[in-house]
Amino acid sequence: MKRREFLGLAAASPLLLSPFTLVAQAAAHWDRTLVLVELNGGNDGLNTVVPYADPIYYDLRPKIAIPRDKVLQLDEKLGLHPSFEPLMPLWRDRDMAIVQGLGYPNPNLSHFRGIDIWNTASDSKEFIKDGWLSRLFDRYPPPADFTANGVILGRNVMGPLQGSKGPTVSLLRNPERMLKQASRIRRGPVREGDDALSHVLRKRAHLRDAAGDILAKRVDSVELGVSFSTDGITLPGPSLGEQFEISARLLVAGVKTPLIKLYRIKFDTHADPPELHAELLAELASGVAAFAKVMRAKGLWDKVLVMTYSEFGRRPKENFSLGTDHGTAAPHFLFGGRVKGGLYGAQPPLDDLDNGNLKHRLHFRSLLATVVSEWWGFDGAFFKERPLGAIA
Amino acid sequence: MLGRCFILVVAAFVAACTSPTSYDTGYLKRPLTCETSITFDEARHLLARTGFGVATPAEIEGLRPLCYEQAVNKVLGGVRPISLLPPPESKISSGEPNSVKRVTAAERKAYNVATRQEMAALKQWWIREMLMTDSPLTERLVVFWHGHFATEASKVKSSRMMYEQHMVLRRNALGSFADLLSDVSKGAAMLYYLDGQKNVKGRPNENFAREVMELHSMGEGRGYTEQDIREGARAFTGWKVNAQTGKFRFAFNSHDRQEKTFLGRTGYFDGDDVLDIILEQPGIGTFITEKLWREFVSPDPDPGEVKRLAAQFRESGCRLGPLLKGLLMSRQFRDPANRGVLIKSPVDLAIGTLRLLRFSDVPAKQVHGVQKRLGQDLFDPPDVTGWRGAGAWVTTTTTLFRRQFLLSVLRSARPKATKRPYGRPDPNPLVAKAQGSPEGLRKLILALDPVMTVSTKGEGLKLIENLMLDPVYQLK
Repeated sequence: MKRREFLGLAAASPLLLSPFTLVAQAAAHWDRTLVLVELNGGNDGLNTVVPYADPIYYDLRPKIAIPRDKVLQLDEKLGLHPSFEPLMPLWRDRDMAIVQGLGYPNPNLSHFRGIDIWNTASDSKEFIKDGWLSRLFDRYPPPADFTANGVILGRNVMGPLQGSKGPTVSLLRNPERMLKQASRIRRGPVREGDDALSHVLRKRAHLRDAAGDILAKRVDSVELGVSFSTDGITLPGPSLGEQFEISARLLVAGVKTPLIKLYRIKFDTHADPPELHAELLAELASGVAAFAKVMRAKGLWDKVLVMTYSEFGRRPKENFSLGTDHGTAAPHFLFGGRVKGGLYGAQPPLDDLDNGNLKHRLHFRSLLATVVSEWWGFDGAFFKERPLGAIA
Repeated sequence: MLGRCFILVVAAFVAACTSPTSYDTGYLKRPLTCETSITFDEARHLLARTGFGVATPAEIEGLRPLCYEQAVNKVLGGVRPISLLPPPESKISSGEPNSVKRVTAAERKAYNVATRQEMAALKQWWIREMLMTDSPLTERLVVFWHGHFATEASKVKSSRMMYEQHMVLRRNALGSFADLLSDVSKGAAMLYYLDGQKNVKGRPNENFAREVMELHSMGEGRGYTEQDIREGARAFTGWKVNAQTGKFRFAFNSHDRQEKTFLGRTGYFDGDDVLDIILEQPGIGTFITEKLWREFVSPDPDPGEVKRLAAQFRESGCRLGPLLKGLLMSRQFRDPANRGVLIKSPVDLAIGTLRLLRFSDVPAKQVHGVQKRLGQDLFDPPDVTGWRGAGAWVTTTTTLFRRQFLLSVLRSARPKATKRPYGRPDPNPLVAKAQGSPEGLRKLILALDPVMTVSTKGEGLKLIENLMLDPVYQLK
């Protein structure tokens, strides 16, 4: 019997059986999937959503600024990096939201701590062990027939599902072959607990269960009819193209999961030529565009929400190495059929910096609150920050 | 330089861990005699935790005449600052990667191909060393420091630099932490990896200054500010790599000679001063002690014991040998409740299993492939934070890969095996043990009782297979 630990937990906890919880759960949109894209290393927000009309931007970045005539203009002030060209149809269709100036007070500029804050939705000086999605799914366990609470692609990094005791499955290259082999494993017992043995046993059971479920959905025979290859881009590590392709395959096959997490390394551009950042954004853009095409063709575009996140943005002023050091606030993106396209938040002004760094204009938990209450329809009080009103 | 004089004065008044040291082994001299000899279980635990997650019957027998502390001394005393196998130095091209301008795409491609081949030779040499060494702890420490002072060959793009850093880690693995920190920081691999090379007066690049405090010495959020990072970065300006020799050089003209205020002190500091000041911080050692605790003892460092050991560490001048001995002698390390609470790393699982089954003529390339698939590609940690370890080693994906590796190894240990991808095994001593004492074999192979209903009635090899395929074999 799969998912036994979850059902056991629910039965044991009076909190989860409160009428309020049951009402909230009944209203939840479990047929909707969040496709979360981690831009690992700290994406350079100012060269992604470019304040091209601001002369200070060009003063701060004499060598690496995106030239005014190259940006994809959104309005009289802001434009997108030229690599985002494949996303322009989504922008025009109003299926793309740009959420600007995301951050939090007392920003932490450590990679490790920065992503931890985003993953756990903590305050700057607050330490929370479990990820925000682990906590959300502890309170509102996904339905028993779901394959997993999360499918992890790209790299085995749990992100907001860190600490999750619910089933998760990581699928790297050749997922079908892997799953066939996994289906032959003896499931073994499962135990509650944070210790190493409980962890090992849980992963074994989750693998065995997910393999059975996904294979039964015939993921390998799904025809997408759209190419996810990114010609001319030769970045190291699993590409976002292949990860979006696996995501599309799973969703089209009907695999049930509230979360698919994608992972892209190399955004830590301290001293990389601007071409690297351009390639990273191009990979993201073409991946999202191809994914959107499949989802629309299969009638699933209203059932998916793509969201980007990263540990921090980068310093407005370029360094001597044609790069930028760790910074603070940055924009992120939402894509999907239910997204109310447009600009949210505000661009942090470049003439009002805090020690050379941008001052955030919108708490990042507003973005997470949007996912929790507007996308899935859960308790709006899960986060104290207000959602954006970005989901129809 | 003014800063240097200032620091010397200050250093005289604080318990600093900057005193230079040779590989002092005085702390291993006692006890000369003792009464209670070490038990089988304690010997196994000590060897598995300081080795590759397993203990061979011969290793255990070697410790049995000793008492516990003598056994600890023996294991620590075996750590050596050089490798047994001669490193493949002749295969590592000399010079610095940027000393020759590679203008055309073909030149760059040729260089990249050569670098990859040389790195493969280095990785395989290290694996062979792990398979044959009589001091597994040496290798465990080198891997530990490699993850701690993470650099990626794929970013550094110089096999020579990676090789030299590896030798620094080896030389200082159980010596003085101050020497280790300084030598790694001034190594070309680190200067390239964290962009120190590009950190110059007027245009500081903070990457190195940040990570030297956060990841290498003090720990994130422990007693420094963003302002300290900025000031530290200014002090490190001028630390460069000589383009001809690939060695450290101080580029005076690139150095910011203005006054800096760093960790509460003001002076005309350079990079050496900054490292000295870091090592004089009252909390230094806590972060390192906790990290070593998680590596060798348990997932949950005991705050009181960490405090005591870290204070001892500072008083010893930041010597790593006495610190590790303190950890291995701690009540918590010896507590049977802390057996089987750590997850074997990919290096542990691959090397330990092959050593336990006495494989010879092992193709190192094959083993490298396994370790990489399991998430631990030596010389190429995932990022600046190194390998996360612990629960992160075991995901649904690696659960499957770990099992496939074990199945493949165990199949090739069968007498009629048709494929032997990992070389020739010699499981006979274990098989004999299985026939003589199945329960003894269980206690040798597993840190805890098995969880799958394993019949211990199985004969010889079948019993070995059952035990190694049990989830408990993933623990140490």
